[in-house]
Amino acid sequence: MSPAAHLLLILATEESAQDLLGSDILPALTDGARLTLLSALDDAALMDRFAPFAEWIVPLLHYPERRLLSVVRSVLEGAPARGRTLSPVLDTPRMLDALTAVEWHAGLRLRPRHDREEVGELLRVLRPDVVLNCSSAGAPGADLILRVARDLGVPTAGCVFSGEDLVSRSQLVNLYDYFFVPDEATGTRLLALCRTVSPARVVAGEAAPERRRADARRAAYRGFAGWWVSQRERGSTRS
Amino acid sequence: MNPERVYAFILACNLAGEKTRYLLSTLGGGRWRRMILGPSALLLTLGGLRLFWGWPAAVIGLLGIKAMPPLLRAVRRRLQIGGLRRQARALMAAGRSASGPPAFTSWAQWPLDGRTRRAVESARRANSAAEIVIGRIDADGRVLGLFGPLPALPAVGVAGFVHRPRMRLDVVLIEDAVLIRKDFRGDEARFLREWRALAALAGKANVPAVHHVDERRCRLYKNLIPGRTVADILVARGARISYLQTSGDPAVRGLDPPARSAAVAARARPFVRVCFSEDFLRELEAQVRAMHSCGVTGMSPTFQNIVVEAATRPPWFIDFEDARLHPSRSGFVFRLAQYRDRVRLCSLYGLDPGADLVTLMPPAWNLPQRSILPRRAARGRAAQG
Repeated sequence: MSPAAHLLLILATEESAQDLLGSDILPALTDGARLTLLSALDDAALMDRFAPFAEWIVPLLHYPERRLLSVVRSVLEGAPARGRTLSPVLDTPRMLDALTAVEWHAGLRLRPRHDREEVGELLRVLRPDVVLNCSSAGAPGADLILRVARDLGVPTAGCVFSGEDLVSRSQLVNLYDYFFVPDEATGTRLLALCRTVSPARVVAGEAAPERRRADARRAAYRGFAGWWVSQRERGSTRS
Repeated sequence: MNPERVYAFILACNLAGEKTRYLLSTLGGGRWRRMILGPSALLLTLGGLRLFWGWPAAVIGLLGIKAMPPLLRAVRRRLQIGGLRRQARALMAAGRSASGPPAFTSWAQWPLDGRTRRAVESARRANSAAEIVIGRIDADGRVLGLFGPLPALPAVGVAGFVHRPRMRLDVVLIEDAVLIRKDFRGDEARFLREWRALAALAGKANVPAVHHVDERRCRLYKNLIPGRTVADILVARGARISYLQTSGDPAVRGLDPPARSAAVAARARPFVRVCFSEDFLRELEAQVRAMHSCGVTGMSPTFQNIVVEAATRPPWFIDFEDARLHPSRSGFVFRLAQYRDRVRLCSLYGLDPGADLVTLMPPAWNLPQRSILPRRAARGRAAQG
C-alpha cells in the first residue's frame, strides 16, 4: 500500500452513517490515510460531520438493475440461507458454486454498459486501495460499485451484522474479498454458508452475544478499523 | 397554389402517419403477435415459392427476400454515416481556421465555492486522467455535483436524481475548460448530425461551441452554458412538465408521441408568458431564423433543450440530434423543413405565427389531441357494460 493509502467507504443508509460516527473509528481510519465517502444520503448536516475526516464526499447514485438480473438472482438466492432445500439438484455444492459464478457474471454483464463505464470512470479517478461497504450487501447503490471495483482488481470489504444479512450467499461471495462480523458466532455462520470464503478473510469483532443491532454494527466497524491499521502497518492490502 | 398549403398538407399527412404507426405498434398482443405473425408470414412466403420452385431454390429465394432489405439498409446507413462524418470534420476544420479556437467556460473564472474547488483540484492532482467528471445531468436537466455544488446550474440531490433514458450528459473538466460531455451511446447517426449542425452554426447562432469529439465512443464535448433550461424555469413556476411529472402521469403516458408533446406544450403554455418576456420569445424566433439562414433545420426547440443563460438571459439551443444541413436553401425540402420548425416553435410557445404562417396551420395541429389507448379502453368498457 502507498504511504497515503486511500479508503473508500460506501454509505448507503442513514443508520450505517450514524453508527459509523458512533463507533469513533474515523480518526483511526484517517490517521496517515485518505478517506473518501460515497454517500447515497442527501442529509447535508450529517455529511458535514464527516467533512473533517473525508477528502471527498461523492454522491452515490443508484443504478437500477435490469429485470432479468433480479429474476436470475431470485432463482439463486434463498434456499441455502433458509436452511432448507429448494431442490436436490440446485443445492449440491457444485451447483451452488456454478450458480454463484453465474450470478457474478450476470451481476456485471446484465448491467447496461454505460452504467458500468460510469462507475469504472469514477473509481479510476478516485483510485482507492480498499472499498468498504458500511451497509448490508443488498443496500441500494452499493452492488454495482463493489462489482466494478472487484472487476478492476480493487479489494472490497463488507460487513455482515447478523443472520439477517446472510440471506444472499451468492451476493456475499461475489461482492467482498474481506468480511467483518460483530462476533465469532456470526463468522462461523458465514463460513458455513459460504464454503469458498477463507477463514483468514473473516475478521470478527468483540460484540456481546446479546446486543442491539447498532452495537453489532459498531463492533464490525471496529473490527475493520483494527484490520485497516494492521494492514497499513504491514504495508499491503492487496493479495 | 400557395406552396405553404402544400407544406401544411404534407405535415398533416406526416402526423397522421406517425399516429397510425403508433396505433399499429400498440395493437393488442405485442410480443406474442410479432412472434406468431413473423414466422407465419415466413412460412407462407416459403409455401408460395415452393409452388413454383423446388425446396432448395425456395429456401434460397426466401433467404434472398429476407436478407436483402436489411443488407441494403445497412449499406445505405454506412454510406450516409460516412458522408455525415466527412461533412462534420470539414465544417469543424473550416470553422476553426476561419474564426480561430472558440472560447469555453473557464474553470479558473467559474465562481465555485472554495470547498468544491479544492476537492476538484485535489482529484486532478491525484490522477493524470485528461478529463474529470464533476457533475452528472439528470433527465430534468438538473446537475448533481460530484465534488460539491456547481454554480449557476439547477442542482439535484442523490435522492431526486432521475437517470436519463437515452443520452448521458456529464459536466467534465478538461484543462481550463468546463464542458458538457454528451454520450450518444453508440448512436452514430445522431452523434454526427449534432456535431455537423453545431460545427455549421458555430459563431452564427446561440449554440455551444464544440471542444472536441471522441468519434470512436460517439461522445461530443461542447461548451457548458451556465444557466437553467426553459423547462426548469417553467417547472419552478408550477408547470407540471418535468420528466417525472409527465412520464409518471397516466394522462400523458398513454398518448401517442405527437399528442404527448401537444399535451406537455398545453400544460406549459399558460406559464410561458408569465416567465419569459416578449423580447425573449422574439429572440427564440430570431435564433431559429439564423439557423435556417445557415441551412440547418430540425433543431429541437422543446423546453428541455433551450438554456437561458444566467448572466445575460439570451436563449441557447443545445439539442441538434435530428438536425439536417441542407445544401440548397431554395429547394422544396428545405422550405418544408423550415415551415415545420416554425410551426413547432409557434405551437410550443404559443407564439403568433405571423402573416406568412397564419391560416397555414394544418387542421391536425389545432384538433384536441386524444389518446388512442383510452378510447380503446372506453370501447372495451362499453362492450362489457
